[in-house]
Amino acid sequence: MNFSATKNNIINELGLLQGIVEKRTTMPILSNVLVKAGRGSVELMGTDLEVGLKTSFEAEVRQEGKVAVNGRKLFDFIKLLPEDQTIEFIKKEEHLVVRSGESEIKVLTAPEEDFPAIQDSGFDRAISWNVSDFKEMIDCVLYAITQEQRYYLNGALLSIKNNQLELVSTDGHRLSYTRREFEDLRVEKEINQIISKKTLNELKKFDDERVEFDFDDNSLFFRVKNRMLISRIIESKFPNYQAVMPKDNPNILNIEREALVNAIKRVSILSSEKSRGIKFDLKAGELKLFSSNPEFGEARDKLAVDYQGKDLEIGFNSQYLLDFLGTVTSDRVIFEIKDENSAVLIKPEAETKGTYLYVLMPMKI
Amino acid sequence: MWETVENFLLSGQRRYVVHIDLDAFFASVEVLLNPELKGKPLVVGGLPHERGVASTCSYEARKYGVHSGMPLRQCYKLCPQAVFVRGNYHLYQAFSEKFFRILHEYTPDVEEASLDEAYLEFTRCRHLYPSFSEAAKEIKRRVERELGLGVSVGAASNKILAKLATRKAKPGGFFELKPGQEQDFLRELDISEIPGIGPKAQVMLRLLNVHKIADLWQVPLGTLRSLFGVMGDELYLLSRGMDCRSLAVEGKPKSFSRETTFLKDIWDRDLLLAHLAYLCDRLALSLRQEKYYARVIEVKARYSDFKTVSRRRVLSLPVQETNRIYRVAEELFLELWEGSRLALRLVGVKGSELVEARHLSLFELYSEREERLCQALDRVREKYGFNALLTVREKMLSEVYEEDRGRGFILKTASLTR
Repeated sequence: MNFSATKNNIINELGLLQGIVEKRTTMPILSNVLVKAGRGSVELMGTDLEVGLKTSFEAEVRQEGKVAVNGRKLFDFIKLLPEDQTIEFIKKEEHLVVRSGESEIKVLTAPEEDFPAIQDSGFDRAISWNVSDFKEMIDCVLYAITQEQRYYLNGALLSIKNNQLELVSTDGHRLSYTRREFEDLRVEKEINQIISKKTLNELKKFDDERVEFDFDDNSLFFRVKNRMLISRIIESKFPNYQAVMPKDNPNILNIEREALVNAIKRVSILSSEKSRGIKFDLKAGELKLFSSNPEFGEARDKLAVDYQGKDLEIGFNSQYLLDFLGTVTSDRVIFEIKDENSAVLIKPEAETKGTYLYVLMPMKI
Repeated sequence: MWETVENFLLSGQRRYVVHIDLDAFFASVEVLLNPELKGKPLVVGGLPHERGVASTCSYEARKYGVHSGMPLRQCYKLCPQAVFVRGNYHLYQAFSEKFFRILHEYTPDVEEASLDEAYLEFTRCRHLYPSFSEAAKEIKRRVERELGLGVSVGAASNKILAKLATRKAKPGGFFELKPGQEQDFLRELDISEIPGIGPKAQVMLRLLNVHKIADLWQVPLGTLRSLFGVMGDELYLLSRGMDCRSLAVEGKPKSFSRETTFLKDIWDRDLLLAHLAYLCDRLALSLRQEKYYARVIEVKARYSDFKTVSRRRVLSLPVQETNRIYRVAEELFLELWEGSRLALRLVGVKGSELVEARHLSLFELYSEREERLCQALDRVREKYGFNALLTVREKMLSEVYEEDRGRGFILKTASLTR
């Protein structure tokens, strides 16, 4: 194998792979990337067996071939080279020689036949949608995904219908739901798949107009131009989230978002560090916030609000409130509350780009 | 935390630590209540024919070779003339609370090592006390005066030395280990005096002809490390009287637990569940009093052959309500016991992974009923005593134990450890 390419062509692709390849070497081969030189371009592949990335860059290939080589070392070296340099890659027996001007490294390669096969797709279903909208949707659900034993909660539910995408995530105490219309989205029948948190994080790094989507029995495929993300399917049943969406909660709080965020931040300074619990005390026209921590003291705040409903004292995890409020763009938000023991529905007052709902269970403080 | 020898040697500031220990605590309280027992050998823990072990023996009894932890039957064999009493745990608890209240007046750094034993550190408040040893003596005098109990006090520059000093001071004395005296003090002590050298380690060391602490000084650090792993560093330091452990000053509790050894082994399912229900009730009460919820419930059972098994469950909704705890505990208990149905000598229940507030779950229905029930229960009990309201299941215990209306059933186990 022998090829050369410019730093600018390589570095972004290699950088993306750093998020994928295994940092802890449970299987040493997974700390490698597979470099495959073909006609006029070079393919790069990396995987942690859950998520894989296949990407490519243009190159002047003098001799085709492939090697598996430590991705981190390669990336760190190339990153430090001057911009617009041409870099030569030559396989010499057990080593890959990477050379640019007077700088050179010689990296030991790993047996490429040990590298796990990465699935491929022809994207025959021709399902695709707008990337930038999708990235905004991901931001709405990412924070409510946990890393825990209940495997099905380690991802978000992606639901694809004609002209419409939904993403849902929950950690058992809260639920984020977002839906947007995509005019040119066509599917034969509704698709429901759980996407892992890591995949969503990687998808956020993609820039372009459209993302193509496909799946088979084992994997989900996302392709943006030359880059394809392969994500192993999480085979579990996502909880029945529709059943827990509150309907017709009678007590309505309409509140300015920025003011609320600031008040929560001030009050949560003295909330218990573990539970982050704060209390809302609601009366007509007025919201009092309160927190206390036996070790440090207590905090109070008061906001004039538009509240219609009965007097109510209800506890929340302040961090969970901030997670949602930080991803909302609307100037005002609406809380629909039943009582201090039941799920609260929170949503932006004005929604320009589809629907964004947050369901939050109260906290007993 | 334990440190490596290298790290320890790098730190170094003179500390002032006092170890204070109530002499033959339970026995002394009994004597206080019944002065006729004074001067007689006394064993607290149970009657001679009963199972179980002595929890405390008076110094008079110790002369006959009786010691705490010894089976009661054996105590009786060694010292048949001793007076045996079951003991009154609630009372000891009250004395202990008073003991610690006094200690806390002198320094914020108090480690409550057990009901009758504490470490105090004066390093942070040395400016308040012109003389370290006078302060220690003053505490000793006050405890003796206000509790009427004998107390031994050791003062030194760290925990291990303070504890060893107390041992030398016993009974009823005061011993201060001054800087520079450590080597001579430690030299002649037996290796078994070092906490952490258990029976197994003792065997290994004695095989190497290491009996006295001075012998241990001859063993290179490398050898200790290869014999005992990280514990090797600990032994190396402790044997030289070096101890960088800070006091485990009372912080937030990590768990709450309640357990009891039965008067005699039990295999009756209902009676076992009655014990479990009562323990859950007590556990739930202390969780509520301290305002904690437990995320994990664990049940423990000990068979008559001392084999001990336990089972735990992580809950999605942390609990402090009696019924919620009992339902989980019962399930766990039956899972581990129904297979064998052998007689048990002990059951226990523990709540851990404590949280101060609980987040309700989206996917489980929550009702306030249990919470309200417990609030009502607590109010009644506060006014009329714990046993004023018991479940039918718990009530079964009244056939077995004496009842103290205010404090509940008087179970057998009195335990010194917290």
